[in-house]
Amino acid sequence: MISVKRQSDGQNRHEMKPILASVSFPSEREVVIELHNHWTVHEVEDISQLLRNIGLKDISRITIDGSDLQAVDLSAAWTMIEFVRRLSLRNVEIIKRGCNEEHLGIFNIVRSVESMPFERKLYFGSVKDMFVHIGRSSLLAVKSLLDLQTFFGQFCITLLDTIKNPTRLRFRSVVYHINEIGLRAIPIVSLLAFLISIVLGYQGAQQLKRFGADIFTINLVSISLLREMAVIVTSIIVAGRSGSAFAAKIGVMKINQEIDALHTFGLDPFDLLIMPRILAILIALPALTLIADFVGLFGTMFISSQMLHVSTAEFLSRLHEAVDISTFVVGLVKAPFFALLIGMTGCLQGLEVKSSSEEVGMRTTAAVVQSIFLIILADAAFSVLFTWMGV
Amino acid sequence: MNLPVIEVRGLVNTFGNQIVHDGLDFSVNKGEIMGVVGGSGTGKSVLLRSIIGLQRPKAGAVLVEGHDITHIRDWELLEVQKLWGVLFQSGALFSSLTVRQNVALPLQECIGVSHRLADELARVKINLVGLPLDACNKYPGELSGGMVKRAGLARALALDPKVLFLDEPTAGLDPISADAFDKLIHELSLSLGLAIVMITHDLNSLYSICDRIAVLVDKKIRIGTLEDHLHDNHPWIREYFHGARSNALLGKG
Repeated sequence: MISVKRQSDGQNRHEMKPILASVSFPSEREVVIELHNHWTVHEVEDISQLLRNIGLKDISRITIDGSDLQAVDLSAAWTMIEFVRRLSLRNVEIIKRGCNEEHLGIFNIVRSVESMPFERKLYFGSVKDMFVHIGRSSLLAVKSLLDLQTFFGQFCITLLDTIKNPTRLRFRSVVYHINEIGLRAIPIVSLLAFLISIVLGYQGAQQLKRFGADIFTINLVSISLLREMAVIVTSIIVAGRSGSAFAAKIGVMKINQEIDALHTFGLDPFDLLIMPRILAILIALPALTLIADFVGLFGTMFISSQMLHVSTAEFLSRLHEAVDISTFVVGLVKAPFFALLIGMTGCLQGLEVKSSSEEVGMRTTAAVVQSIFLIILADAAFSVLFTWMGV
Repeated sequence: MNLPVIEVRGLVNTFGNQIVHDGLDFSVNKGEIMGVVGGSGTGKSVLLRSIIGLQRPKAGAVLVEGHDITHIRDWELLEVQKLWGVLFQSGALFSSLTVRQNVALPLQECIGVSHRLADELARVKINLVGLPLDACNKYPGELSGGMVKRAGLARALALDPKVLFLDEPTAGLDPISADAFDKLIHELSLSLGLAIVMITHDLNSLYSICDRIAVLVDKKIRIGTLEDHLHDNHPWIREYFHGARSNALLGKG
């Protein structure tokens, strides 16, 4: 008699493993499998391995003896049933004996469940799939741009209507969002503007020193700060802080059917949720950019006094030469456009959420990534435009 | 046959200064369905959470197959928690996984069953709870309320537990689905010898499938058969079991 012990699963079991089955071969074409101990889901991997390892090549009759079986659960029973099913396909005679009522009941449940047909879904990654995937993603990208355009149209119409009929405006809500988007972001925006100007100033001074032109660091830093860095950094922060919050908040409201609830009262979610947010960001982002401009210039002054030993008065006269009002305006004028991009992408992504909470996470990410992408794209477009205009 | 699978002794739960449970004693036997009822705020969910170890009770003991789970370490608790399956009220299916992956997950993660085998075993459980086969590859977001409950039940059964905890299994289901679900629970308890603890407000379930009913009232628990509760004189219990809904079911008034 051969005893087949439980195979080691190589993990955390230290104790002696119980024998689950003993296999004997009374004759060359016959096998008897006696089941022992507890057949449970915890042993199911071993059981299926054990059954697979029984040499059944020339067997024509198999006897399964369940008289010593202590317990069996559905999972373990399934492996046995599956084993028997495969044997019966090979016309092996199967004899079962000694099983008690309770265990037979379990085997019967599994058998009744098993008789239902089932098809396995297979995934093949082919070259064709790859192209299909690329095509589909491109169409989706185009669609999301078109959606943004539609959304912009809707926003404009609502805005015009609100101007005609100012009672539609939820003033309190706008103020609340200005606080959330603007006031609360002042510390982080200021800190970053300060640090960015210091980094730029340090690097600029290092490089320009080689040409003996290190005093031009002030020009370099103040111009790049006012034209580009302040507005870009502020927009990215606001996209991360508020664009994501728009998408998440509106998305969750969508899942909770709060948007539907608004509709049932005849209220337009656009008025209550979207207009206040977009108007607030249109006010808050330029204001934050303004703050970033000033803090950044302060940072430039600080780094100049450290690296170039320039006094405050000297710095200010230098700054006056380097920068005029147009430099300042060119940076600031971009802020409302970026604000619109952030606000619209955030709200739109939130509205795109359908039913699952998982979508909220995805859409929030998409809102941030898309708005940052669009900001940089728009900034490039502005550069071309301003060059063309000669400012 | 009548070994208690779960035994609760002198359970005390508090919320700050407020006592929710003041010394509860009860036990659930193999193959028995125990219904738990109680008004809002009587701590049905707290009771469930303290039995399944999601919340440590203030005092008292919860014995699962003779092991006290209130005074064991966290990692030991994780081992014991494999002994039961829980169906949460809203299903609590993992939304990023398909139904089949939801059921296969505990098999793969807790026991280390291979991917293929876990998939096959998950299919057995999904069939067992009567879900259509195309549900296997669906995500929870795509299922109807009744299907979510069934999928949740399939997942609760994944590790072939001896005890099943159900939190309002028929809430939000239409009467036909609710009846079918009750029947399914009853069949499972009969055929697999499962002990089932079921929080419910569905009088139908209470009357048709519960062997005993535990009523949470005045921070205590009163356990008995339906017959016992019908003759109880406590005002809340009288109102519960002799209300219009209950009478309609019992064929009175």
